[in-house]
Amino acid sequence: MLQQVFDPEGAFNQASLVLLHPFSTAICIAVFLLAALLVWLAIRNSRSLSFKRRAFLVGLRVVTLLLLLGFFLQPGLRLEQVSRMRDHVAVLLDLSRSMSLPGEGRQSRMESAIETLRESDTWATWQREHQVDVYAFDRKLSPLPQEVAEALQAPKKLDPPMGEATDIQSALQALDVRYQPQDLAAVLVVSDGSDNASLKGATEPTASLRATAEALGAPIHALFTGPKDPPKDVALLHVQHDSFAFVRNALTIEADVQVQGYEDLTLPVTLYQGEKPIQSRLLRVTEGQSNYHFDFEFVPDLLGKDLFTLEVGQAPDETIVENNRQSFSIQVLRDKIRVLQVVGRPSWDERFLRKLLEENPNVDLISFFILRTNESIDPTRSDELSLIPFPTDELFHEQLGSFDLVIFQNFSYRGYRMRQYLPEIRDYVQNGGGFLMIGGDLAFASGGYSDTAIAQLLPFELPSGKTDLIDVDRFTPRLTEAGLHHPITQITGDRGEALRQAWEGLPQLTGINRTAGLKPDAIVLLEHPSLTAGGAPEPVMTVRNYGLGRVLTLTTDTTWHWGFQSFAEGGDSRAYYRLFGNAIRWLCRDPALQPMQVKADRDRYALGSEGSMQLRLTSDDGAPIEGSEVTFRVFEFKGESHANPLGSEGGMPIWTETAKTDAQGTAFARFKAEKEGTYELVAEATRGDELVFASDLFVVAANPLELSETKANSDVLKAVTTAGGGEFRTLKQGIDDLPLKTAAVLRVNRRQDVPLWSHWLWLLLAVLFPCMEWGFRRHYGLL
Amino acid sequence: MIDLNRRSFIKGSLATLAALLCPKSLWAMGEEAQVAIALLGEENLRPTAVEQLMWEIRKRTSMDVREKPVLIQPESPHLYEYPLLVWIGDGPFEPLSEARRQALSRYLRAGGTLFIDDASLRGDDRFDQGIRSEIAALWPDRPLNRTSNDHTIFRSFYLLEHPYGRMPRQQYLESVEYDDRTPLIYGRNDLFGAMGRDPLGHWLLPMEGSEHQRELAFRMGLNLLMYATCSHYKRDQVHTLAIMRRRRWRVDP
Repeated sequence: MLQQVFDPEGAFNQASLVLLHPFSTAICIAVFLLAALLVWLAIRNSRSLSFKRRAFLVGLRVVTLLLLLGFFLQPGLRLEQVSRMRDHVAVLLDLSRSMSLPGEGRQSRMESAIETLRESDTWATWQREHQVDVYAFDRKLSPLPQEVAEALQAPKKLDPPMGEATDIQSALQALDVRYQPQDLAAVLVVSDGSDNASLKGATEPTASLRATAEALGAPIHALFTGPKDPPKDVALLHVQHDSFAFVRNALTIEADVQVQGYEDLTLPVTLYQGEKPIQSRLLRVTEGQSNYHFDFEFVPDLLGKDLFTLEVGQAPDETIVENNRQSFSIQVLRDKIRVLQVVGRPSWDERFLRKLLEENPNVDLISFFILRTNESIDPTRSDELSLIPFPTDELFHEQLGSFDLVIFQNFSYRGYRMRQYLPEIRDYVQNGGGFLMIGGDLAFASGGYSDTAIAQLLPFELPSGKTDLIDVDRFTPRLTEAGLHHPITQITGDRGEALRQAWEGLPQLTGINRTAGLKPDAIVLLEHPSLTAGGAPEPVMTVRNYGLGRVLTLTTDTTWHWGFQSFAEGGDSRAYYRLFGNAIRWLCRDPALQPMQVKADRDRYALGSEGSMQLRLTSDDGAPIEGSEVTFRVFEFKGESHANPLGSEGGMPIWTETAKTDAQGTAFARFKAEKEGTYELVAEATRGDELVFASDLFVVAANPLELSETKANSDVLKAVTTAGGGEFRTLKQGIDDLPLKTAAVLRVNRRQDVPLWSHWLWLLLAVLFPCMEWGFRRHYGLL
Repeated sequence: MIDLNRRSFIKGSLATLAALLCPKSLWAMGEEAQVAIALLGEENLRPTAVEQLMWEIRKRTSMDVREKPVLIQPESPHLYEYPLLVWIGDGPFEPLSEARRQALSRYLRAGGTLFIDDASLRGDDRFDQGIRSEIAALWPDRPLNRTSNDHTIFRSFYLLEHPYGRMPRQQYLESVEYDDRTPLIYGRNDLFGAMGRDPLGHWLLPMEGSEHQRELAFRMGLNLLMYATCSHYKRDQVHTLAIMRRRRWRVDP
């Protein structure tokens, strides 16, 4: 009745009386005792009256106190809208790639499992009486694909599952956040047990698995889909290799092969570089042995990324052939940069540069310092000196080609019968070598290089006179516009004005070699703030491409100030180290500093995954080129690069996309890896008048993890059911009579509390009854 | 001091003439590009010694040097213009203030080199005691160790058996190693005492032992400068074989 009064629209379907007071139990007890005392006083004070009158007065007192207690206890009506829920049975269906392998019969493990569930009466009962939630899982839990859901209702042909890993525990953990323990009647894991994550090879439940099962609060059952006997198979279990190797240094690739179901067999194991077989071993299967290990060692002789494939021959009647082959890429790097540092005289500039070069782990340094010249006067016997002859022929004729970078630091060729080697040095640079000339009184024009072969490769003309070759004043070099972008001058992580300020904050330099005007293709990175040459500021740091090689000049011999004097003002030598580190990398054509670079974001893509391709385009001075149209193409890679103007004629690209470079000189494209294979990403762009290309290699392949271990593993599922207090079943045993927990079935969707005590009628009665008691007491002569 | 024959005399004379006709300073990059020595402290205890050493270095090597030393304190803003400091002492001294000690420590860790020359009289160990406690305070985590006589400083230009000076008190140097170099070297043989001359060209102080020791002291000083500028250059593989061959020749003539 009350419910009809307070819920005339019928929005709630359940009502109950409740007390809404906020007081503690102790306070309530005290109030009740007080009420009892008042009743006792009423009884005591009315002893002189007849029983009827006495009972009437006590009754009035009791009613009054009950009404007052109502104010205190605040009775109310709780209205609730309650729905009746079905509990959940969560089914985790393994859709990793190993479920595509044969089960007991001819069907795949996945197909057998789906059929078993679909044909089971228990499955139909579960669906009637419970909410059956079926999830797919591989590396993680995901919604069930629509076609698999349909196959659970009626027979249907399905594509093989392609999940790249099996992680049962992660799937169970993901359930934990989806359900309250009281809602879950049971969990059923349908899998072949080939877990390759935290439960790999488990025979007993781990502590973590027990905790996961406990948090779910429902029995965990398992339906094992695998065959009892492993399939006949030869599999490349693991291929181990470094992601990079050094050119002309031995590289080892290790392979583990697992053989199941064969006892007398010989198969080739072959390593391919691109399409070309480079090494082969024989796998001789012997009885009782299933695992075999192979080492392949070879010496890469070319820089860059290369694709390799390791393949085991196919055995007769082999069940799975996809796991006989794995492709991978290895980046072949330069071992160490071989630097020849030739110094005309010991100096602080030489000392700090040598220390920098010595400390660089990528530099193999050969130094030659001229400690004494023909002008030196010291008749000490040579056996008392540590000096050795300057091996000019060995350095500049025999071994010159073995160096990546030659540094002439305040060094003059004069006096060492070296003039005939200068053309060789020029040709060395033209053919790809790096050359750094650092100033001083023995360098550039004052070193006698005017009209020599070295002058041809320098980025500026040298004065021909013998005076005014050097200015000795202090100066702070000025960063040019080209210097703002060029990779050499990036001495901090900052760009733009902040970079300019960083340069201005470095200690001053002293002394500069004068020049006689820049050559047209010279790029000045630092210039003198006031001196000019040929109408332009005198260059301090200048770069130039010469043939295939690169040249850097520093027309001062006091850059050591940046490596030492910077400490005087609380700084450090980081700018100095970065500057020369950048310079060495640029001079040696570090691929990371190439004007156009393209890179796939991964070396290996899973089948069906999406890859991001990124390109960066810069001008010779390192400035990003914006708005340049770029064409990305992907070719199947057969060992021949398509990164040339004939690329498209050398084979049709399987994918093409165009993009424009942004303000940072970058452009992006996305590529979907739909077919297994090895691919070359080729980017083509226009840089000035020149068509430029860059390329990267990548592999598209299913994760070898799932198919390397083809044996089903019932022990893992038994460990899961032990942890979850459930039952382990095979497909033959089915799911009949699997126990389910009795779960909560009611759910309150809406609730409202209506206070009864605050009604005006209650207040009226609470006033009326004490007045009545007072009136009758007076009437009976008690007051 | 030096064995001269006719060939070396003619060679030396021609070289001197060439040097005079074509001085190194003709195209020099200025004073700041020259290798200079800074003396730590307020007083030069061995006047004209550095000048004489630098003069010899200029004459004997390709190094472009500034002859005149400067006196400097660790807190000077010009400290880092001189990667080589020399501290000559001959008696007790006030311990460095904490600020000076920190400045010197930072300088040595940044790449500077300090050579300490004990010029005390025989039997007076007060400078030695003071300097050892200063070094301990400067490098609390690195001990002052006896330097091997195979150290690069003994072969950076001349092949030397051990350290030399005016007073052959110790047949070895002591040093602190840091960052694959030797930023602090301590010698007790009054190295710079062997080098000073008066305006008339006479040596200021007599040698303990033969006059040949004076030449060896100059060689030691020259090697110090070579080590400061070239660090372990002579430890490079390319030099090692030649140096070993010559040392063996010297041991087994």
